[in-house]
Amino acid sequence: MKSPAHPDLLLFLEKERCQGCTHCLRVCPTEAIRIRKGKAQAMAHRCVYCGRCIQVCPQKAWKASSSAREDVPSGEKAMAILDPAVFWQFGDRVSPEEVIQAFQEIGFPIVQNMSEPLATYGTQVTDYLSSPQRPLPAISSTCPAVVEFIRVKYPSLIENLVPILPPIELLMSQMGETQKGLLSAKGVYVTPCLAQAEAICSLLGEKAMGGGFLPIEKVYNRVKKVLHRRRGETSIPQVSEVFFRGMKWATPGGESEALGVSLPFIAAGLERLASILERVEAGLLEDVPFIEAWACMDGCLGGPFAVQDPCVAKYHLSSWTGKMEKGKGGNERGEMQAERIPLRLREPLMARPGLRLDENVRMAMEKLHRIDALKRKFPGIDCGSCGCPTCLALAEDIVQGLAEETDCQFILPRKRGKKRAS
Amino acid sequence: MQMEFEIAGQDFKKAGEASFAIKHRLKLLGIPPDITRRVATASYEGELNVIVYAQKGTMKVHMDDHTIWVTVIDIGPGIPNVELAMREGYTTAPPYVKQLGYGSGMGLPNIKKNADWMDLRSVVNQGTTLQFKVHLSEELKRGK
Repeated sequence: MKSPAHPDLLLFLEKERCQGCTHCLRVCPTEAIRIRKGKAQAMAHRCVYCGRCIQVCPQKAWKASSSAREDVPSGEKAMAILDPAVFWQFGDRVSPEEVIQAFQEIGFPIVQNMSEPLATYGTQVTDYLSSPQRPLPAISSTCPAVVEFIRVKYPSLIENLVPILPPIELLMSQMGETQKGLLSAKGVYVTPCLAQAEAICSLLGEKAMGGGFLPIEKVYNRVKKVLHRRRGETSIPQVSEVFFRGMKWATPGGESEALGVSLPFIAAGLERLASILERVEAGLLEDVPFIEAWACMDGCLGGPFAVQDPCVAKYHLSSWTGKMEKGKGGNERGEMQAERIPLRLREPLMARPGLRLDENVRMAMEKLHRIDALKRKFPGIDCGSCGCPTCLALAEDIVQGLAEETDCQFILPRKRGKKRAS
Repeated sequence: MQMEFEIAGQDFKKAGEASFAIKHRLKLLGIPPDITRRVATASYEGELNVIVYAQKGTMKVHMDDHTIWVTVIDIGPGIPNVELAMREGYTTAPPYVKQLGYGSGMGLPNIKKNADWMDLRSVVNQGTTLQFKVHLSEELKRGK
């Protein structure tokens, strides 16, 4: 069951833990969080599922809703799809095979990884990037939080997003109905990422009630235990070159490398990406062919549910890619059988009206006037005590009927004083 | 709706501040993305022209039910030959400005490309007045 307070979001607040401390309030890149009555809450229409709130919460109050199972499913048909970032969480002496075997041992007889869909995706993106009729710069659409961020805050750049189906969707469209049913009933996508989790759940639709995704942190200890017991039995890596080409996508720079982009332009972290997107919207950067964009500073390795420190995880990744490249064999392209699956987005992505003040432009203008007048009353120090991330956000909330002037700690005493005087 | 921004000549660090603010407000109003982007691009170029060439200037934005009007007035050297200045690639920017990545001679043509109407008037050694407007779409005119 998803959180009843936010039926549209996986993101979920464990209220007992929340102290109303404003850490999440300050970092949310779309100002989607408010503190009301001492507890944080997220506005579904603005949330881009980046998971920054989960990362910064000192009380660990934010989490992904437990609609996904807390524990591992069981049975001979249980399936785990491992995100590329999963393999580098466990130590540099743990080979990718060992990770796969460990997942099998804890209850997933079927373990899949993302290298094939990523290879297919890569070929499609390379083709797209070589087509002359495309808006410049093209912006990578691999990171689902980036896609949502653009839909909410930079809708004019939707046309710049690479219009290829995301890898996970490619994988799922290749699956038959039986397999898809299996994934939704007895399968999980093991991921460090809230946005991937959202994507999986919305792809599976209502079927996802029992399954869908599993944050890495939830299975970390069990996998680690198996790995610890098996230590010393290390097998020689058998995974293919394709596998490693896919695995590099877990970290900034990996996508450009996999695509063979000669001059990579990498923007990692939504705060930094925002300033890049401002420029793109103003018609700058039109000479940049491709922007590799990440919501997290360290890519998927730095996702909100990742357990390993991203620098350490990246070291593990490099260490294993190094070993692999020495002994690489075969020249297979490793793609899926492309003719069977649709590769392009069927319809363009829609803007999300996250910033709009009103559906009616005239009403919106009136509200903007009132906001301008209101914000002059506030001190402009963005202290967050009112429960809004900035004084401007408080003004916006007031005109939307969500807050009151007296929520401002600097106005409240003045009003009280006046009352006393009269 | 009305907005006004002061722009200081040679202040390259602040390039984009005014036009990014305009863009943000258009998003709050729910102006369609394509129109927002055209206004953003054109006003950025207008803002940059003040920074690159003039001593100082102001950018004013006025919006009614039909149109977004932008007026950029600067005090500066002026443009001796407006027709020439409108040509793609024509520039009088000094080398150090080009080194910063500006002054490629595409600014004014780019404004023209993105605006539905534009007017450029200049008096040498006094300053330049740039005006342009972008029409809102039909459904917006009806107040929807």
